[in-house]
Amino acid sequence: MPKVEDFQQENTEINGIPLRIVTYKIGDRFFCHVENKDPGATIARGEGPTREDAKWQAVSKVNIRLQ
Amino acid sequence: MANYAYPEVLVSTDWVDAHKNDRGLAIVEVDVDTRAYEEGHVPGATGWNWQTQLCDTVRRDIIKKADLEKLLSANGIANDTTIILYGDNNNWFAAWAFWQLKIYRHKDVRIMDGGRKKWLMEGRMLSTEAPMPKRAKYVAKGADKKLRAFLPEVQGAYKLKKTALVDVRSADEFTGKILSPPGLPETCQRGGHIPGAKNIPWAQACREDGSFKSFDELKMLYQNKGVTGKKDIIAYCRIGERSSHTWFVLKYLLGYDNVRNYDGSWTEWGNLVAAPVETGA
Repeated sequence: MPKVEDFQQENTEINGIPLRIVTYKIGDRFFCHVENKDPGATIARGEGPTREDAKWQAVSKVNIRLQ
Repeated sequence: MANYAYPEVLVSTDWVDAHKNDRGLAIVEVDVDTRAYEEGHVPGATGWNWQTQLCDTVRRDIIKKADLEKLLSANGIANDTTIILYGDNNNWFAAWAFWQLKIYRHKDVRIMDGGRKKWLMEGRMLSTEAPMPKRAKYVAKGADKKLRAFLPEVQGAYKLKKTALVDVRSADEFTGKILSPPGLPETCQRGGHIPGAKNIPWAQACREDGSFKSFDELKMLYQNKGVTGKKDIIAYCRIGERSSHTWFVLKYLLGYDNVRNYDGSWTEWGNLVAAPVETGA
């Protein structure tokens, strides 16, 4: 059973909206979700073989959803 | 957790890790983001979807008694099972499930302090297997109406001014600058708040790791806005889920007796024709 590794959080802003990007690794996959800072609900998710891939997927969806 | 009014309603991530295979215990994940469970969950945990399983899917209401009985029975939960709830975003929807289970008077339900976030931050094991529990027989009790506020009661509270109204949304929602948080669909015709309500955003009750602040910190947080156990309290937000978190804090961690969650919340009040609305801080 895999453990969670490399849990990271960073704050950012897209279209003036404060967001939190959360990334971590489970097994050999990286996961990312982007949430609004308040109340903290997920806006988009991404998954990939690297942190950057997972992040890129999630942030691309956020860019569309928050237009 | 010793200082809380009812410390038995909280368990730590360490405790869950050590007891996750115990008989008579059911661990349930309830997330805001309903896809999080599939990514990996506490080994042995079942996942409930708040959008389809913890509400009436036809009319706007909480889960029906008969549906709760079906859900719990199918999950191998009997009346004497200890239910451990946890979820993403500081246990936001775990508290929503807790509130509904208490409405139907389930005896032993607890929240894993810190929820999914703390479990992930601590690098604990995750499983992607959904458990296959043996079916149980669950018989729910009648709803405890003292835990829930409906519109007429909130209107009465507004007029009489003897009840503390706690608006737990963000400052921008409270002032009317925005109608709903970015990216969330449920909205309203007017922004602002119920006149006289105090704005105490729900997440202020949590630390950075998602766990609850201490009894003293929580008491101070609400006391500073004039919310003490001396008055009846009604908490509300946008659709009643953030306020179930605050309801949990006020009722179980601080031990205030008469606390109700107004789940109609701003999507009801802010859509009413001619309802009194205040904007600004």
